Amino acid sequence: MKRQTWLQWARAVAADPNSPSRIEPKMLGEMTGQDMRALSAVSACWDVYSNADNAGRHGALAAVYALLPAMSHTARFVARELIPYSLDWSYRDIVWAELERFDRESRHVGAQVRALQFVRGLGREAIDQVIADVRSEKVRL
Amino acid sequence: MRCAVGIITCFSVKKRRHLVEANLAAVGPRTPSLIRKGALAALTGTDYRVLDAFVACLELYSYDNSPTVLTAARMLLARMQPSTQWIAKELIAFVFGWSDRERLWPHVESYKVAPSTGRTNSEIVLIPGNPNGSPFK
Repeated sequence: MKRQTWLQWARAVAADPNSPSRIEPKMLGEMTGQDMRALSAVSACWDVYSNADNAGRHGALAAVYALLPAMSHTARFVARELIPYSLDWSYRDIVWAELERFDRESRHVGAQVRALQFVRGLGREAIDQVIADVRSEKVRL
Repeated sequence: MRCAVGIITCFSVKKRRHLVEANLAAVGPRTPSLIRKGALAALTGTDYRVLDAFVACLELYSYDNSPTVLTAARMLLARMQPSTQWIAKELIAFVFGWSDRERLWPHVESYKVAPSTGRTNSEIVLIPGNPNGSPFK
């Protein structure tokens, strides 16, 4: 059976009054071309999240976090509502709460140290190397 | 004939348009692509999903060339097997041009710590600070 696209699914749940989805039909009509492309990317990220181990889930969440600024506020709301397209209704709040926690932690520690979230488990020497590389612009943030 | 080979090789992933295209390119004798017949066999399920998301990010980048979109692509790429990440580089040409592979790859390639300074083959993904603050506000 051919799997429906995220847009077909979103239209179907928006039209169903019994669906737990909070997407309304007019929301999809308001999307710009950029929003649609961003939502396609987010939907693919949720697919990665749904089939990955811990590291994969973290990577998918970080990718969605990086994609959010490319969307309008309505599209960000739809990004959250797309979680059940790959997972289940109950995961919508769980996964989004993880993303919000990611945001809080990131803002708290700042851009440079934010990179170190991914360096857990490495030695002090390795972390110093990362900081030095970022400062010398050997790697770009 | 080219179509037949591409469709048979990609039968299980026929919905993944970019991979079918990549495979078709692999059949062409004069293609600049490094993907050759059978190269996609090494891809795992996670790799396929990451490639889907990677191409979706590139399509968004072709429309909105914000660095955070490339960051998203980089974070996804780090979740692929190191041995198959080169396939993602070849897919850049599916969205952009052949010459864009070399231009964009350094921006999406994952950053590795030298083995002597930490855990061997550790991959680190660097997230840029968001100049506009939290995307949740």
